[in-house]
Amino acid sequence: MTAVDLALPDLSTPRRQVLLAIADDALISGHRASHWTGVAPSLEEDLAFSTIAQAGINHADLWYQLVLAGTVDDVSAGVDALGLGREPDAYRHAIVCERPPRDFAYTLARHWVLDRFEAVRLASLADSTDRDVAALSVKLRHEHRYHLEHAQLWFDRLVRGGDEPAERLRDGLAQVLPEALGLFEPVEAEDQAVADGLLPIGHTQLRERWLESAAPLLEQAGFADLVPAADAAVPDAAALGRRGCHTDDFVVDVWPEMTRLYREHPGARW
Amino acid sequence: MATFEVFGRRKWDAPMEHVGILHAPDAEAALVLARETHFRHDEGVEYAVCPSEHFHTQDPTLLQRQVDISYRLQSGYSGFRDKREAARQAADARGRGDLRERPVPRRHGGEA
Amino acid sequence: MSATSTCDPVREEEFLARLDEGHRVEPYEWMPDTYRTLNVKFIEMHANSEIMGALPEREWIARAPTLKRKRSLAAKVQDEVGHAHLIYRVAESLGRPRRAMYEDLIAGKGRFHNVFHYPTYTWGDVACIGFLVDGAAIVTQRALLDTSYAPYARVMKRVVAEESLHYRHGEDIMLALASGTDEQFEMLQEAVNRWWEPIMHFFGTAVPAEQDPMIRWGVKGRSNEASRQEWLNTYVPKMWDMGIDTPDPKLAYDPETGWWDYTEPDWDRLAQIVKGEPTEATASRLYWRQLLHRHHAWLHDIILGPDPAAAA
Ligand SMILES: [Fe+2]
Ligand SMILES: [Fe+2]
Ligand SMILES: [Fe+2]
Repeated sequence: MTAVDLALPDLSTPRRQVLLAIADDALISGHRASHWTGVAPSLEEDLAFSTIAQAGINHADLWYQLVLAGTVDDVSAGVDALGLGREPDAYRHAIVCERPPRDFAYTLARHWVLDRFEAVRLASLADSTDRDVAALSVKLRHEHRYHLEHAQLWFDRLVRGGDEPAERLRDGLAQVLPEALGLFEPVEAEDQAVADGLLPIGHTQLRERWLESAAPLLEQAGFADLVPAADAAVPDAAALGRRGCHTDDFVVDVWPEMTRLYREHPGARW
Repeated sequence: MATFEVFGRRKWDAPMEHVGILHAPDAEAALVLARETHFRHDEGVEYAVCPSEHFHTQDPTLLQRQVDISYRLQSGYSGFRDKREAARQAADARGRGDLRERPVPRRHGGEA
Repeated sequence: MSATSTCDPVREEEFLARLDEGHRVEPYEWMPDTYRTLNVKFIEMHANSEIMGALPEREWIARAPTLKRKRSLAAKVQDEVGHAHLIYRVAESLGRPRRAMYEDLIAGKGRFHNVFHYPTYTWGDVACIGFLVDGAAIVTQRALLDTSYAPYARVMKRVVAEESLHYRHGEDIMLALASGTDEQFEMLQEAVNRWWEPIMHFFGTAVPAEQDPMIRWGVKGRSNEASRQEWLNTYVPKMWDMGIDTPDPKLAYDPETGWWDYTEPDWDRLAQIVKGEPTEATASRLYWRQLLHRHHAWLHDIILGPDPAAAA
């Protein structure tokens, strides 16, 4: 077998940077979510959470296909080259996505925060002038309803579940929320993507919408003190994921394990 | 008066299916009345009732999948004839084609 | 329990006679103690095995070589967890609470099939587990469609239907490796060599059907040897067809007798695996599982509802 000659398109265009950010968020959070498969706190939840993990991987695939859009003949090989074949600094997901699952309270807190973010992002992308992007966003929005319901279900039950569960959820949210601000850092050349209408609104505005949707729920649950200030800065430890700066959680933990087999056999078919 | 949901099993190896409802004052009465309300034509081998207020329904649109999940279905896997042929050719190229010549049962089972 | 004593030799004879006539037992029927105990033992071990089978495969979701394999493997492992979920329910209908079974399992007190005690080294192991080990499970689970305990047979119908997806998933991975690069081929051949003995062990010793209490009491419908032969019938030709050899030099099919001849596996080694000290792979999988479980004690009542056993 000879290595497949796979010339990926130029990934630095505004459109591709935007799409990579979306796809990488999905892939890396899906990868982290798959940790719970077989070891979740109940069998029913194992099944539910596995679907959330699969959706991450599956949706990443769909977004990577849009990144490629007609530039390679072998789409699956192209998707894998994007998902598994890039160097760590070429990944554009926010750092909060790469954090380890820690415990189920942290996992749920992140799931809740990410899915509220994904909901506002998909809602805005449904108005993209790029027809493929708009169409995929509409599809995924429908799919995402389940994620939102699932996240809210456990959020509510932990809040009402007594001191310890509520405390643990609070700890999880306290770790996730500041780092989640890294989700709203602009990708490279984002202004251009906004001017083109690919991104109906920029990441700064997305942050406002996300806060509008998340803050009331956090306040009702007694977590008003955790709501990030409108002008809060992204903590250094969670900044610049959108520009390819990642922590050891990704560079040392996720990336080598996730990509090793793929990289060890260039051009192989699996 | 309360409403009860009625479930029945047609054959011993069939799942419990929803067959309808009935009105009765309580579960005990519902069990007695269900027999002639829903199973008088010999429709099944077992039945059960549950108060309708304990019967929760989900918005069916949540089950509508917009994204392809064929990887979870048999239909997600195809082209086995070609894949097997490719493996045979690879085996020949590796000088392992003779393994196929060994005696095996004429028709072997499996899902193929 | 005076009126419904479970120890009644006359009723027991009648019960056995009805089993012989093909009667299927429902949970609400009277049943002898032996019947209940044998079923619980067997069904609990089956459910445990679905969970313990998910653990080695789950290790590879993170490492899968393509995104397609990553999500299909995740979906396949999800199904195995789903099988555990369905099968534990059957044992529950015989009076054994799921929480107790689950906690026994992760405390290292539960029994499960030998094949899930082994470590995995390469993607070749994923192929072997997915096709050959799942294949062995498919063979035995098909035979269980005839089991006498009705809820078990009903659940097996659903499980067997899902297994035909697993069969394809497994064969697809095998074929890709067999027709891939030399390294991929070797990866597969080496894994087949590793899994051969565990799979031969899986079906158990060739105890005659008349002497197998699981058969006498209608739990299993078929002898160990019959299942092993069926597996050989299906899977050995598949491997040979793709150029993968089997590591037993004595293995041969006799068209005259319709029977496979093979080297008797080392049964002491099987006893060692299932009854001896846990293997390193099992010990570490259970250790992590146990740690996660204890770490989430605060969550269990929230996620499952209060434990009725604790309330009693
Ligand atoms: Fe999501
Ligand atoms: Fe299974
Ligand atoms: Fe399976």
